[in-house]
Amino acid sequence: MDDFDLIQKAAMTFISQFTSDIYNLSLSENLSINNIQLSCSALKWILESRNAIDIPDSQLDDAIDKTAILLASVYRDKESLPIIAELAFERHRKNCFNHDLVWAFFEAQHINSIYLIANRLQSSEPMDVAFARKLLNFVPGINELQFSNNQQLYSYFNNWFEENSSFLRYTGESYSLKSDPTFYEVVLGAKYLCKPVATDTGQILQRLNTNDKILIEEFNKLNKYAQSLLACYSYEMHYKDKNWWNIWLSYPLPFQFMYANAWIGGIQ
Amino acid sequence: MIRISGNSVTPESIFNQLSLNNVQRNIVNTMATSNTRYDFASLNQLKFELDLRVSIINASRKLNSSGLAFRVFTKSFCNTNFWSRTREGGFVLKNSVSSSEAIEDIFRNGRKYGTECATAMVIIYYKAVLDIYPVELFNRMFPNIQLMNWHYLNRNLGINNYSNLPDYFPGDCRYFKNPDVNPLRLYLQGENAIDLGNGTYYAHGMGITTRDDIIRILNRNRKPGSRKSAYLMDNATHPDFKHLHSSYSSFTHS
Repeated sequence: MDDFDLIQKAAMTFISQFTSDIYNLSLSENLSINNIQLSCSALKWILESRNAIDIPDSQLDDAIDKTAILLASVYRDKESLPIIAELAFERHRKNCFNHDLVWAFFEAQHINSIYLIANRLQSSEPMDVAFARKLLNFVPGINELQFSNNQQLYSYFNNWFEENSSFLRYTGESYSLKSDPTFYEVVLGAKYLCKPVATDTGQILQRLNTNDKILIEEFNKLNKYAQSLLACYSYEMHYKDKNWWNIWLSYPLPFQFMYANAWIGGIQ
Repeated sequence: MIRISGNSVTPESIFNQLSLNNVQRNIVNTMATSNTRYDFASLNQLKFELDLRVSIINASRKLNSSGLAFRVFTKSFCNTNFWSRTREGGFVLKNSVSSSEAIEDIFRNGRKYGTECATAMVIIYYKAVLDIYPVELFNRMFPNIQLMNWHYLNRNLGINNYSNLPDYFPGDCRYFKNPDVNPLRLYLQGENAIDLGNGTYYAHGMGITTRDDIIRILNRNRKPGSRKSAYLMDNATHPDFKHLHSSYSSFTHS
């Protein structure tokens, strides 16, 4: 049997398991095709060859959902995310069920793949734009602000993402909890210190020195507005004038806040 | 603290004026001893919230014994005399029937329906309001109902999810999250459950059970090797009691 036959055979095994009684599926059984590379290739084959698989549509959608879930959440296969995103938008356009695909996409926790959603902000299809805005609701203002065209909307996202992508934590929210889950949130303390975080935990990746620990402890006592203001100002100064940023960060919080407030006044 | 028309009131003064059951008395006591201020425009507004919370608990018990099956959206089903199944797996009210009859039918003919846990919560809210509102008002307020987890909710129900609340009350819908769910049992990624006020919860698919049991069931459905336990989240979902009272009050006084 050559590689292609092996992949197809494994894919058919997955499909027959997926289309059997879904309530008795066991993950370990499905991973019993114990060659990880073969399993991954077989699952990708299902996604790529979905239009040629000869089973009823309702079963096929179910099998595709499970394929996407395994690839994204178990194998963390970022290569399959463009197809998963495309399928989620396609089903949205057809008013078909896409909640599991959306879950799979975000569960991969691959920050840069957010662009697969954001690129739809520039679509000529209004339903795609509306759906993309809904999925990106962790970007403040993206659903509330008026934009003169889709390019401006995309630029707004792009600027926000460039500023905040290093500080994003995956929340794990889903449609099971609410109709408008917020899939990511900015870890403001990390942005304030300008240190990147681990996407899954929100923990700052670099080791904090004593001074950082004192700063973050004081920062965490502030209200959300003050935290947000200081984090934005800190990021901006770190980017524009690192010498000043170091001086500013050595000031007591009330002074830091005073400068940040003046900056807001200045840019308004 | 409880304030009515701007004046702070004690639980005793409320108990002297209203006939309340134990669940309602406990809610009043929790509100009164809380650091948070609970403001009501009138005693009637408070009474309405207490009654609706009890109605939510009663509707949960009724749904539990209705025979409603647990199904994921791709396998959901409904009584097509009252509802049409959408391509997403939700249910839309048919034009030819009233919303009150259609909601009642789910409780009367539960075996003709199958859906997942969040949709069951929404069904409970509609039934709880129906049991308190005059039928005419209910049909006027909710002429179009679509049931599909937390989507397509009728605005008049005012359902919202609130995070990090200082207090939780019977009648709240709470969420048990299973962060390491077995991805092939995604329907157990979390469980919506109504707090019944006696240490038990109604969770569609699990029945009436305790918090520990819900967590145990979710934990049995994690990825192999997972060490992250399921847990009860710090949030609650409930309807807009004040808005519902305002409509009720206007209708009954007109």
